[in-house]
Amino acid sequence: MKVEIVTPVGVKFSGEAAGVRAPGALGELGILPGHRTMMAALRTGVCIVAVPEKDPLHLVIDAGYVHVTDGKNVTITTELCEGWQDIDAAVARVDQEKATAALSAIKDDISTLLWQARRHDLDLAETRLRVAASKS
Amino acid sequence: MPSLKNIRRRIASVKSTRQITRAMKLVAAAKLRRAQERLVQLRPYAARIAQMIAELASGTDATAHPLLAQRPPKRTLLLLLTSDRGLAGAFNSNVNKAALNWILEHKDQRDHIELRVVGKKGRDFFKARKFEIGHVYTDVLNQVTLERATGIGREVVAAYVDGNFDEVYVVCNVFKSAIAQNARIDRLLPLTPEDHDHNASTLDDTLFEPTKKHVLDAILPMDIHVQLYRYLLESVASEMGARMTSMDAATKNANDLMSRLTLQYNRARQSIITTELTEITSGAEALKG
Repeated sequence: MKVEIVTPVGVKFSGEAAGVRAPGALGELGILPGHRTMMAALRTGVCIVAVPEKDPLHLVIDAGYVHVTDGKNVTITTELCEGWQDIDAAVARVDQEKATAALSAIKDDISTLLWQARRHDLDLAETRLRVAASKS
Repeated sequence: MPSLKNIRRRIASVKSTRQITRAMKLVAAAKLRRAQERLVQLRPYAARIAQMIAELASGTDATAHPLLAQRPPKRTLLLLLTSDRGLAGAFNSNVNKAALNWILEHKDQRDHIELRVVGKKGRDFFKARKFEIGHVYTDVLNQVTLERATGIGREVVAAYVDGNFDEVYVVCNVFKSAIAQNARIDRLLPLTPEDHDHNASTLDDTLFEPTKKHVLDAILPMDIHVQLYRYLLESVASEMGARMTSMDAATKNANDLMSRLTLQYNRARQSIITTELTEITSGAEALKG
């Protein structure tokens, strides 16, 4: 099946794949050829693209959605997509510490915009570290 | 007539000014190209989101989602995009005037119009006119990133969803060419999906994961972010285009001024030589006699 990952800075990945695992809003989504037509919201997390005859590709994905059509076309539209080559693990670690500190400083109201923003920073930093460690 | 030394000094100063304006023009040209490249890269992504929203919205009740629901416009947020630096022709005054006119025109029909400003130039313009400014974002246009646009977008969406505003407008420059930038006022919220033929929908048999509302919740803010990002990039392109043109004009003016000063310098020098020659010949004549 054909997988395409579109971001604001261009098409990040386009090619054949045996399957995709994407971070759905409510849990992991596994997409294989022949999947029924689907639209799913995504959250920050790791997306794994199984490229034939190569190591599976680990990518950081930010908020977005995945659209499956005809059982063979998968389009992921996301605000951010990074491979391990794009990630500076040292920067990600600093971001992680900053976000953790900021989150523990906000104790009372966890529904605020600020809290959500810091939580998102933390998720993104942790996902980056995971992908950086996978190196594939 | 100014002395030779004075003219020489002026020529040197005009020359160094020309060097600066020429460098600014080249830098602006490079930044303009980069902004345009990013606009091109953004296109497929923006188009995909716009199309998806059109399809999703055509099948749902428009009032189903707060970002789509039309409310009577009582409280308005005006987001003005300007730059931090001047020397860019009419770039900033274009949008400042457009925003001012819009406010004066609409303030009688609204209970409240809040102004939020990106860039120091817009802030200074409205501060000088004693307007109240809700929030100022600086250092945005010199380093436009999607993250920055997303940050501003989140704040705007949150204020809108909380009911602080019934509509959000953006006042910005739209890039036409290096010599033409148009001020434009666009409504950002509530979103107006593009018209879509419902029969052509590809979503009839679609499974929504987890629900259609979740998917809309995910996509609509993405659209706001991408639109803001596009407006910011358009503004950068316009700013750089305007700066390029005005710095080009400044370089030309410096050239004109230099050739005029050089002419003046040569004339002054010639007249000194002529005077000296006359003095020498008349002295020689006097000795002969």
